[in-house]
Amino acid sequence: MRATVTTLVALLLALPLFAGGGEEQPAAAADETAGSEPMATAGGYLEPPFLAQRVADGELPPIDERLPGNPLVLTRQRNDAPDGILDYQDGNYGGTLRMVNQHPFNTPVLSFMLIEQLLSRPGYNIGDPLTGNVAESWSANDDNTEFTFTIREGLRWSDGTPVTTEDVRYTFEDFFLNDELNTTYFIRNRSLKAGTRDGGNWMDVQVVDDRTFKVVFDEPTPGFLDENNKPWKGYERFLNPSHYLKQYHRSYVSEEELLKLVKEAGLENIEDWTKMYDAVGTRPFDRWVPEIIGTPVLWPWMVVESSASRVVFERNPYYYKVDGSGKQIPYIDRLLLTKIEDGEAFNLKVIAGEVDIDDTITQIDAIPLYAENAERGGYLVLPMEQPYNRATVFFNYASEDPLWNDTVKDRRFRLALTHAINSQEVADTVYYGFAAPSTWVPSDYDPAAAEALLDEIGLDKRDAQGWRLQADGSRLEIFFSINPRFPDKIPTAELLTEYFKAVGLFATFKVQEQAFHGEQMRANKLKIALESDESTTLYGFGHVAYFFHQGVPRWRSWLQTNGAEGEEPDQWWLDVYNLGLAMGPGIPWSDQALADFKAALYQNIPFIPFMDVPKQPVIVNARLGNVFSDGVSQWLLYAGEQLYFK
Amino acid sequence: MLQYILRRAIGFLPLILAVSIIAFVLIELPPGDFLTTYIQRLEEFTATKLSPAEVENLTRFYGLDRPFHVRYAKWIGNLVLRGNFGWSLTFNRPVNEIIRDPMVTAIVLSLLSLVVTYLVAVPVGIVSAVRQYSWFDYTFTFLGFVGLAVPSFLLALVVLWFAFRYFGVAITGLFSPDFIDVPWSLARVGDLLKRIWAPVIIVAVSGMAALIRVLRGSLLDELAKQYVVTARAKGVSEPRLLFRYPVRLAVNPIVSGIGWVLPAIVSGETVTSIVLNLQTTGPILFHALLAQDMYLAGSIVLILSSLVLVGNLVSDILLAWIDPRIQFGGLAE
Repeated sequence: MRATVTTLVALLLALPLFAGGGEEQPAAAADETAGSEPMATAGGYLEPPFLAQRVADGELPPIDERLPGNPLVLTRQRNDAPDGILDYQDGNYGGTLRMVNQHPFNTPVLSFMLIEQLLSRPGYNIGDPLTGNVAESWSANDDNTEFTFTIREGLRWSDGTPVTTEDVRYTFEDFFLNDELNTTYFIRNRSLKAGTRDGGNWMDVQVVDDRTFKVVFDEPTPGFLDENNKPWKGYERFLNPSHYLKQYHRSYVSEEELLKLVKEAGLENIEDWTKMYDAVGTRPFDRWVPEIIGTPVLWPWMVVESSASRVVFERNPYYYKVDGSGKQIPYIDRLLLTKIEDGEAFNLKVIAGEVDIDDTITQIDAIPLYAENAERGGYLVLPMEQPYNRATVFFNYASEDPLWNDTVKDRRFRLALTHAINSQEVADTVYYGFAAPSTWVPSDYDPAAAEALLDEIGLDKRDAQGWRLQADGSRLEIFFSINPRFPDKIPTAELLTEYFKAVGLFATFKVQEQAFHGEQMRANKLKIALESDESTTLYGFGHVAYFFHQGVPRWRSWLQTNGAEGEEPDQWWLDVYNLGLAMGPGIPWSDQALADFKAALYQNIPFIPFMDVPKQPVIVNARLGNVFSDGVSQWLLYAGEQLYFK
Repeated sequence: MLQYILRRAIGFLPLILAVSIIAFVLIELPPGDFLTTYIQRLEEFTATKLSPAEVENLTRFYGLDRPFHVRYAKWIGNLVLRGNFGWSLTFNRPVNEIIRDPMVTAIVLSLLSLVVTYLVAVPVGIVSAVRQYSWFDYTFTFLGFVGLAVPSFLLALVVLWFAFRYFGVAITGLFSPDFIDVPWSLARVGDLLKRIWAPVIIVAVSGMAALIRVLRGSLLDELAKQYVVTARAKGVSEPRLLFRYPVRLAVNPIVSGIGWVLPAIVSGETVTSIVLNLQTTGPILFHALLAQDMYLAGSIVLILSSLVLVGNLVSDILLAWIDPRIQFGGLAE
């Protein structure tokens, strides 16, 4: 009591200190203009009220001049989702979408909302055909070695500069091929290699005319279009605002000029220019460092303010999409991203109704808390599918322990483990029933059968404590290193080790610091792993090449280096892997290929994905429209530009 | 005295240098480096495993291919010559810029807490000692032990819940989302007042408890001494007697503690800051250490250690000023 009074006194005394900081300004929220309904222009478009003043002042050209000749029109037919999980409507202009993130400049939530692909699947139905997006049309030659794209006519960067193939040439020659710069990894990845495989040669890009360019490979690459137009893969790998970025590029400015810029950025040597460029250019993680303000984009929103505590985005006045009633997309004027440190603080913000949308920081075990306060906080709690499955056991078949390798290569051992796991119990306790036992591997819980199988393969001898012994008389030990980045793995690991112990296998786990965990994994020190997997989820089928060899670093590097390093995988394993590859990365894959892969996985159990479609609670403001009510959680974000406040 | 301060200041230099080396080494000690974590995130994000060549490229890009002593020399050189703390790997921007604002927040917050702590603890400690075993003493002894025993992050969680339950405010952060990073205005100060009391009280309570106990203990010692009895016998008035000598001596342990107060002011109570979501230096140091961003973490550790040294000097000077029996530079003079 006394403390409170004293605090208040102290605060009152301190008031003048705070107030002296700057000129008085009205609250920040004042710019959310509701105003009267805008009038349609000659072109039939409705100027967003948010921009009306700037247009009236002559700072911005009117909407008819900002939009391309044929803007992309979002309609109910085009943007429908399967199974009636989206009631698509034309929305209203206005509002601020409040989001949170745990890293100042990095958040998957927002990354996904800002992605514009060359070509897109509007319904988010994975089987839908591709349609034009940034590129308005495209074609492929018969053997899939040449892909031709035409940039949307009249498309403009967010500063009003037209997008041309000079931007394509710049991206390819001055970025992709520039050995100083292309260390900024994201542009150099497998999906730009021939055959979209790790061992293929890089693509070649050729400019045809002002709006047309070709991507050429030296071997058929049927997966190219699908791989590069997934909902999380943006235009940046083909297009960058050359008119703007050239002023930071070593090939375009004098050394003195560059050195000056480098020094302004807080660096010293001319060699550091790549770091400066890195901050100015658009990258997948830190898209909103303060340096990026002013970099032209094609995203629905652009950064206008950025600090370690919050980031503000405003609508891109030149965004190229409109709705059926002539409103320019996005409907929502501003995004406000606030930094949050801790999961509990996040939960508190959610129940106080301060978070408009999130699918990442939410915790499955907080569902009762979210649900209890949903009405008061004015939000919905939607349990939606995760695009990944964190409960997957991977084996290291090429560890440094030959005895272990022999044991784990025996299918009966892996089958025994599937019998030992009570996946229904994991689904009920860890996922609160929002998951099901796997259909990808056997999931019948039968500890007696597990014990019988283990006895059969020669693990029948036990030590004094009752733990099973290996052929050389030493105890068979199963150790899981758990990456603390995914706290929901901890209860899963607790249950798993109990199940294994119940059938006489000495199993333990330990939460290890992320970097240490990664280092041990790379150094081939881990014999078994509980990792995330996407190759058995709807979105991940095309991801076999990435997820399949988790846990076996030596086999993985053999595959990645075309046999130059590592160790050749066993044939049975390679067979399943190749069936997975045959299915993807092309979308839609054939049903037959999917069935074949699934059958082979079930038969061989190369790894154990023991949960099916575990869900994640998604928090959405109840006033938001065009929200998916079911499906994969990230669909909401992929379709972020169509959200509006009712 | 000036000579003494100078001599002490010169002594700082090798100490700070040693601290900076130790800080750098400690951050390098755990297996893996900044890139291990970074690559993991990268691979998760792009669903592509990096080839060894790409990993090598990245290592070069971040300058991690250079040996330890070269990196250290470059960092410390820049710091000494240009006041430049280097380039943070996690944030991909200058360390100076990253720590500036959080440091201001941390200082404001901690100074307020410190004022509250002293304003409450000193009077309460004195009254507790003078009225030993009164209800007042018992009450504050009880509260003091609770304050000592309850970790501040737990207190923070409880306060968060109560504020939400009874006032409907989610006091996460010092400002509501609309007021972060906008220029100062009355509305903003109001917003700050709605939220800042929680961290100030929480940080103050833990420090308060210890201070009350220390002050009470040492004052009781003093009050029992002969000179107090003598003075009282000679008819010196109670308040004059109390404040002239015993209190002056009893604050001695508090003043010696100032050496530790300075760095605490700047670090801003890491765990409390994380729980309450305050943008102070604490969480930044925490994340920098986790990510093994040695330039960022090293810089913060260096600043904190320098402040310990400065704080110790300040407390030595203050002690001498309060208690003339303490002399500078030994017996030489």
